[in-house]
Amino acid sequence: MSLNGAGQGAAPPTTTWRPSTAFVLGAAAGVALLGLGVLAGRPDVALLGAGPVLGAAWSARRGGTGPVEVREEIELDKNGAMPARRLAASYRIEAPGAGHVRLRVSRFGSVTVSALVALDEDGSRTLHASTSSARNGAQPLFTLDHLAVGPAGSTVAEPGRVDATRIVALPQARRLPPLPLPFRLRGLTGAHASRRPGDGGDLRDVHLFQPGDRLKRIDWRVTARRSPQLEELYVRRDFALADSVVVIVLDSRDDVGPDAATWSGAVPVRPDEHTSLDIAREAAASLANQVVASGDRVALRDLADARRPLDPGTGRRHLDRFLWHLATTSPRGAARDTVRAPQLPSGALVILLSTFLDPQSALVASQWRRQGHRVIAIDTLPPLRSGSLTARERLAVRLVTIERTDRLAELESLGVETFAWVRTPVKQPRKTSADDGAPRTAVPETPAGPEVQLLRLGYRSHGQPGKGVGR
Amino acid sequence: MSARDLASIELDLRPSVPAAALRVTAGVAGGLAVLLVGFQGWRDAVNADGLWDGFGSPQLTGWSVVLGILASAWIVWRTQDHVAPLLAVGVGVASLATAGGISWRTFVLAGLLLVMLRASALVGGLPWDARVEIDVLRPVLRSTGAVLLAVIAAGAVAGFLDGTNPPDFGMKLLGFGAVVVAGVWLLPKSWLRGKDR
Repeated sequence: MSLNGAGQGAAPPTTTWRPSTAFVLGAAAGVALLGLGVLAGRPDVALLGAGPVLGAAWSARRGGTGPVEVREEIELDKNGAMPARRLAASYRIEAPGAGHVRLRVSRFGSVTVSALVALDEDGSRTLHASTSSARNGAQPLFTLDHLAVGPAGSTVAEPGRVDATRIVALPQARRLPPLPLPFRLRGLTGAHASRRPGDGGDLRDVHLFQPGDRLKRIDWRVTARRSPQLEELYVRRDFALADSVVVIVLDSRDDVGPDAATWSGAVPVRPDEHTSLDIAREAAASLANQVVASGDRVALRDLADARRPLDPGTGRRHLDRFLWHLATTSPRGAARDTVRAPQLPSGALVILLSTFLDPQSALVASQWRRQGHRVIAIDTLPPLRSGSLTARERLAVRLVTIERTDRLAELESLGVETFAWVRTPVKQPRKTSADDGAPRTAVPETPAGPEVQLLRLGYRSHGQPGKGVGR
Repeated sequence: MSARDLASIELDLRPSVPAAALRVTAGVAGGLAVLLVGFQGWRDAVNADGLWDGFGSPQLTGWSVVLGILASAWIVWRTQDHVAPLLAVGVGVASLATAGGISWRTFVLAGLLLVMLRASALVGGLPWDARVEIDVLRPVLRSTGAVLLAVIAAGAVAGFLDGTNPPDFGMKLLGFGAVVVAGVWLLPKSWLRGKDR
């Protein structure tokens, strides 16, 4: 799938060429030196001006002509998006009457690149530009400024610009271990063993044939052993399979960076840093990838935008739809208090991705937990950086952090499992002279990453497959 | 936030050189031209008294040399300010203070000024880390060489015709060579092509 954007419109416009300032001034300097030498009767001084004048005379005959056109071509994935780790675009430059072209490719969050590029013999050139982005979601691609220069550098065309096209950068999914299962599995098919009688699972028991049993389930060996005269028939009965529904709830009301001074919005977040929404998107993409890979169903809900829920589904196309929904989420307006938590499929595993900077997300998580859902709250706030904060800002951050910690502790007490997606590095205690020779104490370890945390949570449910099913 | 932290944009360019090299080339050419005129002025100075005064004749003081070097540095620093044409005229004016006559220094000076003007015009306004493809430089180098040959040829003729200062042997040789090369260059190409087999 490709997007074509014409930098100068559909029809090639007429391009005005004008002498370049450097050419005019260089020629003027040559003429001045030549005149000076003639007036002073000094052939050596006149000779100094002969070079620039001859060069100007040679160049003046070879000015640029014809139109200049630059087209942008963007190769998108089949879902119309682009991976954030490689954003790429191609630019087709067509300037048959030019010698070379000055280019400047810029993008917010990337180092601007400038170059003088030569054209092929047919006066065209195709350039590929690529970069990576720390951010995901909707964002502008490259802005290309171009200036065609005549064959001898004597003339320049009008400067042109190809404005940045807005693309959707998909979050990069991480490989995760099998996810925890909900407290109740659903259905009679799926990838998980349940305790309901049915088909597909392990052996449950051998039972007398009853009306309704299928003939193919008759176990002839057991029947021959227990009833040689065939007065009774025995059938094998299996456990059924079940699938789990995972509802990923994204709290897109906050999009904050690691520097608390940027939270007001007056100062932009550094483009090379992940914001909380970037982390949430990456986490949601990784989780959804794993859910779909294990054959379960995944749904997406946005706490800030109730109009765009994505119903539970599975398969590659559903995952593409999920990633597109995910990548196009963005903070919309102020936070809206809800009285009741959004309704979710019964028995679903709820994974809530939020910064927990306000009580709203914690409130809905507690409501879901009280309704009997297994709720995993993942903290998506990036590790905070307080080096550049003022004393007042530092105090405010401290208060917010205390509130947040209390909020997460309260959730834990309600039975909501919590962990942070991005590990906050633990400061190592400074070694003092008094420590020399003392026995080494245990250094607090850095919190485990999401893979380990999910393994830890998954052990509870995987150790007891189908716990509670059929009740 | 420094530029080191930002992601870089990759462009599939052909073999290229950094624009900084051309900026430095323009500045060095300008500085050498200034020093050459200054040295010539120092050698030709009448009543040289001390190093500072001896840097030139009364018309070309040491301050002019310092000013020229500063102008060369300016060319490197801000090429887009078009200081190079101004410096070229300044060097020409300063040359008036030296003894007249066309010598090898005149050709070197003409070459330096031409390189300075061409290089600064090419990279004017480009940032330090911009890339200049060698395919862009090639025609510029070719035309600069051709113009220099023409200048040498013209200088050689002018040197022969100039009766005030007899040309030395080296310049005669140079002029002769230039005339031969220019003559070959001007010959119709069909004359130089071999017979088709």
